[in-house]
Amino acid sequence: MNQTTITKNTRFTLKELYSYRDLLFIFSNRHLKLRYRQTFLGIVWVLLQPLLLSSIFSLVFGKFASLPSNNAPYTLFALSAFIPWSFFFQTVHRASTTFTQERELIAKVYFPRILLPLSIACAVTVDFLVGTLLFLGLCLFYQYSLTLSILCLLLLFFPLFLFSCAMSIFFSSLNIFFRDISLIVPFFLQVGMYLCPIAYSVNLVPDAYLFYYHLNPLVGIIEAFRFSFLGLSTFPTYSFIYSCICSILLFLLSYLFFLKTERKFVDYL
Amino acid sequence: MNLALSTKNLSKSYPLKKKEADSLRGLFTSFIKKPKGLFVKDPGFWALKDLNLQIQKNEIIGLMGENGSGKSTLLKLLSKITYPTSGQINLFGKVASLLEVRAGFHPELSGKENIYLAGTILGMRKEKITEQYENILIFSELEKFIHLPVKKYSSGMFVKLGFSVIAHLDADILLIDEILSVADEAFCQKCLEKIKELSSQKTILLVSHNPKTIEKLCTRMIVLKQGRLIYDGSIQEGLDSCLQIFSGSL
Repeated sequence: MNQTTITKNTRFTLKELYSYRDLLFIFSNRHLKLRYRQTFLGIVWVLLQPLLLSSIFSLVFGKFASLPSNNAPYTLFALSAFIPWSFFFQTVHRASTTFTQERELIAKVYFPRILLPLSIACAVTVDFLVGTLLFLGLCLFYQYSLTLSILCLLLLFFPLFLFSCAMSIFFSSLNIFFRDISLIVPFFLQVGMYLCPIAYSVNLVPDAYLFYYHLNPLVGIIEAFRFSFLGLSTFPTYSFIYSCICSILLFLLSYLFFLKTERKFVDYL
Repeated sequence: MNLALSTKNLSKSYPLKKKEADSLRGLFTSFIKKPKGLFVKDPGFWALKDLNLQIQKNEIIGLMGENGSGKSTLLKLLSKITYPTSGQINLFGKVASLLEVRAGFHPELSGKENIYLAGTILGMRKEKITEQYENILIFSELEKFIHLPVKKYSSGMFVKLGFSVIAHLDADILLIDEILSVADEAFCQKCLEKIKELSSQKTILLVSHNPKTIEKLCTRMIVLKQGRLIYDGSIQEGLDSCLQIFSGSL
């Protein structure tokens, strides 16, 4: 018979997390179902949102401001960065309040709590795939020829996923203790969109600011995505490596923060 | 020795004072107002204090006590929902708990989906839940409503679903808070019979305010008062002394 001992220092183990893999699937599935079943537009909305935004970017920044777009149609140019950004945005935005929203579940039954933010990231991955298909469809429409670099997507997704999870775990845990986090996070996400090369090209950033601009780990990731989607000639090697290192470190830190605070969750909810 | 669970000096305290710093603004203002105040230790409220228990396999324990005596805290600690402030718990086997009428159900999902959710939360694989699904459905008497989202269920239906799920899933220790009283008499009887039947394989901890239920069902009785153990032993003796304790305080 397996024996478990609980003291004030008990934490969940990775082995335990693995035994709960079905629950991760059920939670993700639930997010998807609720998202696609309840809203009237459902899947159409998932397509419409990036399409509308990249069209507006194309109009405002491409037509009105005539910004350069690496010789790609501006809609594709904007979309190539908006897809990874949207993954980050959706994950962090929805995950940051997940513990307070699932209060009923957390206060009444036990399961590794970290599954809640992780399941949101898994559910948003489906939106990411839908966005990618949309991009491929638009490529046909614009007759934009893809290159083999599109296969890099598979690899690039890991740092994006890791970084998004890191931020989600950190903010969702913090939100238990400071409820204003749920107000601050959307604001920072909004600001973040301007600090990432989504609507514009990174080439527009003056050299003097380039170093500080690249401190944002998302810049390297988004640049790499743009390279992969549009088949650009140069891969942003240094900033991408920096982003990967940041993602891993931040993930470990936020995981430790989560472990430290998890035991107090229920008492503070 | 055939222990199902044991606790050693198990204690849990909850903060009594309203935390000022539950927002960043609160943290900031309380730091300005009284910087030392942040580090003053809240004496806290001991919901459970130095509890030592040894429960053998196949026992049906009746847990009694007034409101606020620590019964629910004990069940929450045993089911790992909250962690002890000090002391330790040893569990020999899987724990399943039914702590509140709507506990662990997601309102937007159907009864069927919630059965799978509850089973997976217990750490069961999908195939094993499917094996038991028919039994759960028949026991719960909810065949007609199983595809409705559970937000449309009445409290009684929740209890039926909740009890049916934990009775049929493969946990070794069942913790049941005072919720069966929500169900109608007939279903309540059915549950009590099921508990008796289950005790040949499982260990059961049942909170009840009803001396009759405890007398009929349980093999041993535990009484808590203000977070401390005040009685642990046979039912008859317990009920006699308990009635005195309770009538004294009523």
